[in-house]
Amino acid sequence: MLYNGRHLLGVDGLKKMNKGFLGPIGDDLPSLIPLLFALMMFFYVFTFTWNTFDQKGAAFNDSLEALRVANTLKGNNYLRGIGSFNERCAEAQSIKRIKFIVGLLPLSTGPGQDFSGIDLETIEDDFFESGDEKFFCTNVPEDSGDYPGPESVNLSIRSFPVALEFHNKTTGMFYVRPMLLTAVTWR
Amino acid sequence: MTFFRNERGQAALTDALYFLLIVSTLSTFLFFFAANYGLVVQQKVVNQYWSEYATGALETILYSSTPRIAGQTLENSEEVDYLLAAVKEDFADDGQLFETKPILAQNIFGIMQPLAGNFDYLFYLYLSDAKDFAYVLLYTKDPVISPTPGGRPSEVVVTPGSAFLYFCEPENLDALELLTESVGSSAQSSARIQLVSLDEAGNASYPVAQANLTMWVPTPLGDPLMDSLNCEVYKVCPADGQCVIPAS
Repeated sequence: MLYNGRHLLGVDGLKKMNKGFLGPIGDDLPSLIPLLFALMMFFYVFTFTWNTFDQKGAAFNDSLEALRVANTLKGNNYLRGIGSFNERCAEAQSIKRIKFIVGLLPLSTGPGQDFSGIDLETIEDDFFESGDEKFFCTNVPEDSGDYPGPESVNLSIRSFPVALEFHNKTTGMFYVRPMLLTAVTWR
Repeated sequence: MTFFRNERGQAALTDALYFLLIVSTLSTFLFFFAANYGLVVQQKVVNQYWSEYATGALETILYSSTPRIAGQTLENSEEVDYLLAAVKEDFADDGQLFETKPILAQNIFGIMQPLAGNFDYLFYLYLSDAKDFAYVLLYTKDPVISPTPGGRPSEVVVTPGSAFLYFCEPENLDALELLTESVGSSAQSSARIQLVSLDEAGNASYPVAQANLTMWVPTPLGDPLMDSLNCEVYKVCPADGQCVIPAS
């Protein structure tokens, strides 16, 4: 049948034209594949970004807290003895976000006295002690059994040279020797 | 109208592909942004840490004590003085450091030892009025560069070699500025100290000296730079052995 020179579709013609028509959704089925793929990709990247921000934000805060612990203990890089160290240790107890152990390691003051390095396994024993007093500060309860190790989250070691004053009561000698204030922090 | 209705499937597919393109672009941007997020802040925190270490080291060097009698240790010494006081006393004699030169070197070496594996450093006392150096100590490592076994010729393995402690006598400040420019990123700390100088008649003057400590990631300095620094070896520390002072 012709109308204005065009073929008008009859029922048979429409059926022919709708060959492969799967319904309103079925017709758009191929376009749903890239749509779903795009949505999956977006949500994957979004979750990844969210987690990255979260982890890095936490790491920054821990890092700043670690510096805060070290800065509180070292003060102006001069320690007047165990009394001043303990005062600063009490001040550092306000830091709750991270766990820490801080102490002094002896530095070399002459030939043949090499710095022994920092060993996490023995660090508590390596911290310097003068007489019966150990230069050691922590916010971890003694019986918690919580020690820093390779598996600790956000483990960080910060060291700063400090000058430590000594008064030898027997000889009356006064001197200042370099020490390494070492702060180990973790979560 | 029939034509457009019949092309509906293709239009939806094209829309979906555009959507995919836009989301891919956004996701790529988001991914790179997340991957690089905080790198600058992290670098700043690290730089701040090294800068504070340099400041702490310089202060500790200047605060430290030294035994007055050679061969004794601080703990068993009969007479102890501040290192800076000994340096001033030594300088006052003839405007140069002689007796305290190795003592100061040993003290600096001891304080910087925890970082010695990862950093090279320079310590100097500069008399700004006289435009002269009272003391220059340089610690630098000599990296061993060897080809990668089975690798391409351009691939090399850099391992730490011997470390050297030098006393240097550069002609002017330019040589040290060239050094700090050559080594790239560095952490620096400086302080002003007042020395005493006595002339032949015993009149005292008080020149001001700039004490400076600079540290950087080990970098080969090259012969022209080392020549301009005019250095002589004070101590050699092999990569796997005890440090020795070579016989002069």
